[in-house]
Amino acid sequence: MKGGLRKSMTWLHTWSTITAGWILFAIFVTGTLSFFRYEINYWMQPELHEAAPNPQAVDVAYNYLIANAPAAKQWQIQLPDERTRTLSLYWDDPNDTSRRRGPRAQLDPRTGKELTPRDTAGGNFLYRFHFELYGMPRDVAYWIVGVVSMMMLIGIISGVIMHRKIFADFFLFRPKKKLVSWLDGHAITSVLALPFHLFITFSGILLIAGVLLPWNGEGGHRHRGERNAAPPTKVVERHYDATPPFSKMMADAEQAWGVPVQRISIENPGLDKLRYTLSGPNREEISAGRGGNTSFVYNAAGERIKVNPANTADNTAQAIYNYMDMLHQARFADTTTRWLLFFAGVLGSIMVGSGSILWAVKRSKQQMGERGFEFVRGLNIGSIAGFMCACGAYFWANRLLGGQYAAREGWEIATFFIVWLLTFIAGFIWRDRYGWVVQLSIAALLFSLIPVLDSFTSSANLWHAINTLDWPRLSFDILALLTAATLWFSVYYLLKIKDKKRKAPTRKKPAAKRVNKPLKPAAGEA
Amino acid sequence: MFIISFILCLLGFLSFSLANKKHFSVVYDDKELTQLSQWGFHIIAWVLLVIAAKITTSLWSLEIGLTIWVGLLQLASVLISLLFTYSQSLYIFCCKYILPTTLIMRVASK
Repeated sequence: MKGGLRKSMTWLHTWSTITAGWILFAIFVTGTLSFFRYEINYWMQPELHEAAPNPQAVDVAYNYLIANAPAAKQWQIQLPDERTRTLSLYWDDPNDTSRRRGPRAQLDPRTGKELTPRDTAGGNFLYRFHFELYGMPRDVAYWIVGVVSMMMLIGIISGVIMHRKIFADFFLFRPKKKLVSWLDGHAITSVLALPFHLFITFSGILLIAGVLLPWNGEGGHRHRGERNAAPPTKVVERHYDATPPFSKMMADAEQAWGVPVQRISIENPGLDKLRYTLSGPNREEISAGRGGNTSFVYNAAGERIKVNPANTADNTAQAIYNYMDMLHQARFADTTTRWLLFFAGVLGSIMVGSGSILWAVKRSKQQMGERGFEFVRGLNIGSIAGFMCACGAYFWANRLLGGQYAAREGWEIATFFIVWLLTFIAGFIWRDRYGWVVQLSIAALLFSLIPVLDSFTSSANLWHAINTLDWPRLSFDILALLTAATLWFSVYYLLKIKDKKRKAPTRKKPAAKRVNKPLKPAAGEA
Repeated sequence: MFIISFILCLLGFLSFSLANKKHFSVVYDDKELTQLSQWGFHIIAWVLLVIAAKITTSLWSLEIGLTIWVGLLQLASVLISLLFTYSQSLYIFCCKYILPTTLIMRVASK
């Protein structure tokens, strides 16, 4: 350990994160967007946008199932909630004994009309990309993501140790000071959201630990369990004369839980041994894991006959794992929590991005023109500004490829990678501030116009979404506008530095605020 | 109640920031930050944050409430940093007239 602990940690922090930073930025951004995976999926299937809520949605679903799946042994109804606007129905096909999952349908809760959304890679691509990357064997991707996550963890811990004035600089951000501003921006996004960064990195490693520890007794893979083919069902006569007591059951469950019913599972529909199971977002503990919700079972008359209690963790180790799993994937989160997690994710993305930029800014005077340094500059532009362009282009591709275009899913992903590749090439050619300004402006423009694109290419325009309070769709548009605002701010900041350099190359301006020292003239590039 | 909890987090971090010499000097450039007043700001901050935690855990369950509380802390701390950086007059106003800073300073000076 040469030069003491702090110096060693500085070295470790710099080199562990700069080598992983480019891929970490992509992982952080796609992971952050994945907090709104369902909303993104919904936005990318505009055929669903005409759906609107209806208090009698459950009756609409029931009537559809009687008409379309009268012989099924089980029906499942997923009611619209704050994240989905459509009715999702699942049932088992008695004639199909081989399928893993039975048929499903999505309905407009108001009209009962069956909706046929386009095939899209949707938010699922972004979600999968953040831990499986793309186009490579899953194990290899897990190893890459696992190693960079470990480097991130090393970076976080070494960053805390090397930060000499972690408490004194806790709330300090000094704008308009080039290197100091980048340093403050990096430190402030790291320190203020440190609990999030630590847990998201550690839990991320934990979730793919099965692959990283290949001799763990499971051969490096989780066993998901296999379903045996269902035996053929005997044909029995079913009667659908009686009106199901949905309102009575739902009122009972909602009164007990204090939250609306989300799912209704109907076993043996049309038979005497008919059972209804109602469940909802009534989770009390995160550490209980995926089965942490209580559900109620009712008979045909709507009387509660059984309570299925929520799962609990078997032991502390299981509870910790469950907690990490649930928190990382925000499985318990309501809208408020989801936005808080998203905000922390944005801070994480800024932390990673600003760290990579800081590395280059710090060395710009000494190493400008050197091959390795120029390579890093090019990579920075492509992996940060370019990645944002690729994300924007991905959403545009979804809407611009025609509604019934068969190969859409593949072309959406292809567009993402083609644009990303082009931005890397452009980044290596134009590595200066103009390269940043152009790519950030393109990304900002793409995100700014997303609400316009949404309005013109959806089955229902944006006014309809506002009128019917279509929050899943509006959330995505707001998200796009917030991203655009951040990108435009970056462009403005970069252009301002350039203007200052041109107008007053040597003059020092007085500080606007008492705490700020006089501004230095901007030199070099951000 | 959720908004109240968030406001308490904001005030808590406002108080924490005042325990910092640089921030304190912006609000009171003619006074010195004593160790006693630093303690006072810390105590006020912790009390406010604990009340905020109590509110979130009562609105949600213990585990979910504490998770949301940590999220609120992060958001509040960033907002206080931005407030200090970009709107110091509002920052000074909040410190002087919303937090009981004058009282703490008086107690500390005795």
